[in-house]
Amino acid sequence: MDPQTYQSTGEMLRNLLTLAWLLPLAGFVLEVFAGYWSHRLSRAAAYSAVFCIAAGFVCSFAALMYWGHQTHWSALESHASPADHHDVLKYFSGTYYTLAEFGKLRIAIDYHIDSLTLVMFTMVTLIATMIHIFAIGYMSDELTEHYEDHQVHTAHGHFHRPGRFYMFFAYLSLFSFSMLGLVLAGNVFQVFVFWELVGVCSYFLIGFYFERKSASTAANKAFIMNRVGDFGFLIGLMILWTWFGTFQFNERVESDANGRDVVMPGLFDMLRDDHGNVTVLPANDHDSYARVFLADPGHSGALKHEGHKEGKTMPYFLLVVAGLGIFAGCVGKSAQFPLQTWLPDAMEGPTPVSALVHSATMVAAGVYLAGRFYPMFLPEVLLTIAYVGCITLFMAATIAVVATDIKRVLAYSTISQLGYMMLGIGVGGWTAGLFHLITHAFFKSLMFLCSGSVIHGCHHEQEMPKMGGLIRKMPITAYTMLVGVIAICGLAIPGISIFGIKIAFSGYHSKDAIIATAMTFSQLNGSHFLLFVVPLLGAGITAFYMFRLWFYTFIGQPRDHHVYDHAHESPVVMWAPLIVLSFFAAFVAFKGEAGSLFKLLLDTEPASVAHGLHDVGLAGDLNFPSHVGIEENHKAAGLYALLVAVMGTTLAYLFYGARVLNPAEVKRQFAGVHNFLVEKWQFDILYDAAFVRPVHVIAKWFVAFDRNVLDGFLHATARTAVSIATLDRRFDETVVDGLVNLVGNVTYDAGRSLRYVQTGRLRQYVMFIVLGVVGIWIVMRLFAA
Amino acid sequence: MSYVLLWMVLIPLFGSLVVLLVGRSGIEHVRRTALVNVLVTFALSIVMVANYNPHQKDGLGRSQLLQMKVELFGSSPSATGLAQSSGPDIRFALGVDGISLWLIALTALLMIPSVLVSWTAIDDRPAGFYALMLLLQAGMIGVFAALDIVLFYIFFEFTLIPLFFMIGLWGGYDRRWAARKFFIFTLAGSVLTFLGLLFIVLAHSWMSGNAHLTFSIPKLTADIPRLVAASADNATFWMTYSPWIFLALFAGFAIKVPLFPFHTWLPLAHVEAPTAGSVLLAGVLLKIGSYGFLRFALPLVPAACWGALDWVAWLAVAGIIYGALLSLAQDDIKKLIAYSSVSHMGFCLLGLFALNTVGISGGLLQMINHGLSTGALFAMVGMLYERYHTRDIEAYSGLMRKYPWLGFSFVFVTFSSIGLPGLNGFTGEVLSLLGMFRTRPLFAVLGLTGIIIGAWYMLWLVQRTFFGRLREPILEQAQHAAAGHHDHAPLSDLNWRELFALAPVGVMILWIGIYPQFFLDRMEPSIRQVVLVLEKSEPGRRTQMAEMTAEGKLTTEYTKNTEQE
Repeated sequence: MDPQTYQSTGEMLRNLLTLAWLLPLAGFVLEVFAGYWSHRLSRAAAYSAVFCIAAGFVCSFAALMYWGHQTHWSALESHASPADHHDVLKYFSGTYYTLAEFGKLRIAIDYHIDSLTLVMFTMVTLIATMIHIFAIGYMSDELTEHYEDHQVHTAHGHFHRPGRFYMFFAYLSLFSFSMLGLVLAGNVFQVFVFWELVGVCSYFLIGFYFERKSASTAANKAFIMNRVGDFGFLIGLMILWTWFGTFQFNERVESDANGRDVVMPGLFDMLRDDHGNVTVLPANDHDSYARVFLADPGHSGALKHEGHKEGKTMPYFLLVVAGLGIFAGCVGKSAQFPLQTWLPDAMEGPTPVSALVHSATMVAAGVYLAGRFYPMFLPEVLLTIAYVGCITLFMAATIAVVATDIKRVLAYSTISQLGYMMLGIGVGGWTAGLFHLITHAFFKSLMFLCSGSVIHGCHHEQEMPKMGGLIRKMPITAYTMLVGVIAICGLAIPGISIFGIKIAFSGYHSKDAIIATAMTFSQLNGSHFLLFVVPLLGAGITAFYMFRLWFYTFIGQPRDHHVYDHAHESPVVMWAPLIVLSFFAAFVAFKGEAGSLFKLLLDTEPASVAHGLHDVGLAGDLNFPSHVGIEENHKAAGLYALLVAVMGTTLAYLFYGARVLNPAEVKRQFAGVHNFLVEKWQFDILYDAAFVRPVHVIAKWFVAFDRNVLDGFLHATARTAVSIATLDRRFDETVVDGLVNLVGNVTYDAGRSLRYVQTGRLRQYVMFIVLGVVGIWIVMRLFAA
Repeated sequence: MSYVLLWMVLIPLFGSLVVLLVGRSGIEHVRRTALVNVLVTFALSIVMVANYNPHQKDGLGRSQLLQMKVELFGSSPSATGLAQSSGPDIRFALGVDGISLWLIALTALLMIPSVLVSWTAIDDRPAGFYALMLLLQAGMIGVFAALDIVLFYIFFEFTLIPLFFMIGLWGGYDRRWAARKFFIFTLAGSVLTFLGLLFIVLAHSWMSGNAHLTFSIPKLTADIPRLVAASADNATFWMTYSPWIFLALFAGFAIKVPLFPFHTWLPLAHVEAPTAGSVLLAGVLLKIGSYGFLRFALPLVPAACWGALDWVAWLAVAGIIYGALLSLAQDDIKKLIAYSSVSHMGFCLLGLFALNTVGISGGLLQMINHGLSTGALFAMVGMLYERYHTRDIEAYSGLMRKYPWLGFSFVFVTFSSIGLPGLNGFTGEVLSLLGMFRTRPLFAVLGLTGIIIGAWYMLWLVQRTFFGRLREPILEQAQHAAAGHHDHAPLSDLNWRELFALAPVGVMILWIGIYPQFFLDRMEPSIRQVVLVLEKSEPGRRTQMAEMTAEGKLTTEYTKNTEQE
């Protein structure tokens, strides 16, 4: 691609994506301020929201196609090695405007467009469009002046309020804007900005039924838990700002005062060389820390390295801390261990919100950032990511097994799948992790919408023990749900293929990719075998709880006839999106790792991934798998995963489908474990006891301290001053005034006594003068002598 | 043009007289006069901002940051710069630079909500109230615009008196006690500050060997670093006395900010003050303290600032966490917001004492941000109080249902206050912390915890008052008759007057949030001047500097950098 085409392509892509990004914002402004509160029966707000996001999808898809056309779809050709394509710039970036500038330091709103951006844009806008359409039906009971909230009780029965249909769509639009901004961001600071914005949208959407205490509490919990993660994120940002002096992902070109082009390096360019390698300078006699080398041409007093690069160094551990800090933000947003507790509570929001925000897009933003920021992560950080993902996927899966609320099962399943993605990224499967992000977005949003359809059809009943046999009442929902369930479980028909294509849904391919990477990783690093065993086991548990959900809800005899009798299939505005999404859930990963989606993502894979890494890390004992290595294990890993999944499915069938085994019996046998799982591994209790209560207690102490000690000291000072003043007054009145009076009295008395001398007789006076003069003369004589 | 600052001080002064004169003809005339006055001043502040050019150069190509200068009653600045040698050189001189520009604009802006929230709330002796408020405005604008130490101090003290009466006469139940505590506490500190300022003036005269005393702030800030660098004697002299000068300045400014543990006057004054008093107290008066640090301490005694950095930063961090925790434990809305001020002002000081451009810009921006968001929060609490006459959090629930616009505004400002990107608070906080991280990482990390607790107490407040089922306080006629109020405001959502009071603040919150560079650009050159001085006296550089001074290298370079006028 010659520079001119490159530039024009970049501008075109920027324009299309900017339009897709800003349309929902325009929609938001329209929906909030156009006065829909005065006619609450109008669906106009919904239509404008759907229009904006659908137009956004068209733009995004057009951008993807245009990009493909301009690059001659080179990404889809099977390249010998993806790392060899460095002569072509794979991304387009630039600046919208600057937020703050201090000399060389700059904070800006940028864009960064590569295949990952394009795929994410298309995915987000497509799913969001479907969910918007679904929500027209799901939220239609808000189209009233007197919405009756069955979960809020007042003295006069249920709580009534005007419907908030338009507000719901306004929030959805704002969310879409923020999410797309996050994906488009060209620097990590901007990611943080939109990160917080999606957080606040999530806050409003979780708290949509803010009359319910549970909803507003859940909203607060989500926001504050995320703030805990952001604490780490900001520390990471501060370290990067201090040592790198930029937030930009990649280099940018800027004209200096003389009009020459100066290349300002980005974070990735500074840390990594052309082959994606980090230069580590081990600790030596002069320096007790190991350091990493940062290429920085403009740096004064620069260090020459490798003969051709100038730069500086920073301590290795600080870069690890920065990586962990950024990852802490991802932990909060993606509900990973130990900050996972907010996501299940977030199910208080309306179901379309759970589908869009709390499964498909926002919570996946943590994984997206971990992927986007991958070049900044040192091996130690990657290992941490892998373990956090590993713990999370197992823990959440076990809780999902005992949950009975249909949405909560899906919520824990989301946490668990996000754990898989993190694990995938952590063990060096960059493409595998992001591949799973995309496929998961489709099948999980599908399943959430199906659960929404069930909840809508059953008149806001969410407890699975009250359902059963619903396949007869709502077949479309049931079968589309089955597609999602098969996809997430990773079921496939082994050995048989049509024209060389495996018969499998999307989840099979992506989970397979993760497990194959994990397996290769654990072969290379024997001590970390858990990183393979746990996700494999998790695949079985996933299959078990997902089929449990499906059998529980749709198969067998109805358990609550009241619910069953009133259940009905949802209107077309709700089931049509289900059909569309189920198509994508099944076929988005068509042909697996030879398919177009995987190849598209592979195009953005950081240069260091493909060939693997050997003996890296500070201790030099970590190895990351290469593409070739993973390929060798692929068949075996796929077979193991499938085997385990089939076992899980069978077990679920035996318990809940055929009902050969009795779940209640098992529950009795393992009452302790069951209780532990129902209590969500006791995390809420633990956090309450360890953090919330102590903080409240300390706050109370501080109040007392403020009143008694600080103010007490102040008042004591004031009192002392007053008592000194009182003493002073007494002193003044007795001593000083006494003295003055004494002087006065003495003078007066002297005057009185002298009165007798003043006779007025001249002769007497002359005599006094003579006597006086003589007396003075005598005195003077005496002293002169 | 150049008289715009003078008018901004004089119009409120005359305005307060006019208000008193029309006082007889009824409350309607009084508040309209006050409003017109405030709007005119605000318009002038827009003129001021529009005309301020941070890149202006004088005839010699030196950048001219101090603009719109006015002098009255003083000798005209002669070519030699030396006025008639008879007596000290004290002038009525006003001017604006990047540091004071936004603070003056903030003052003019916050007067609008202050007048509008008092509209019906103050029906007792309104003429006196509005006259005092306008006097206060004149004082506040004057204190930021003053270019002379004596003038600065006069305005500084002058702001105390109107507020003292506003709290003492129109305040709540404990008003007299609150007014007295506020007055005495602040005065006690400011006397020491004045001593410190006087010492600077004298020291300048000693070091320059010129018997003529100058009180001009720009001249002092330009001269003193030059004099200190010029000779070893001066340097020793200044190094010996700067810590003491810093302490003296600190006494007044730290109380004003207020820095932990000198904050105890603040919640009391806020709780008892009438709404307009709280808005101005939190919005503007607290900034005089941090402004004082930035105007005097940082450029005049930079070495002492480096020395005191750790202490001040510890106090700021303590204030951030302590204030946040206290907010968490309050059940009075106004007290909660008052303590949150202690926490937020901690961020300002953390930014200022980062002693680099990023941090100081963040600190200064945070002053503006805090003024806007806390001012708006107090205004809204006042609106609520006008309806129900209680500030007890427990008494309220689910207000969002009945007051959607109030709820919307409250949530909006809450998010600004807890630093949501896209709204103003975020940029200030982040820049302060980024700056501090470069200087002392530990304090930045500790300060971050305040962001978590900040979200906690503010969102909890919103949840308890605005979310949930609607529950209103019981209105007891007897109770509010006893409080001296005849009637409650009608129990309906915000009216146009109240919306108009909040709208300008809301616009600024969005503007700063989305495009902070507009604001930063205008302050940055002035801040860079301060930072140049600070960088020269950074420990570690100082020894290097001493060597260079000995070789005579530094003096010329120094002169070049610090010429302000």
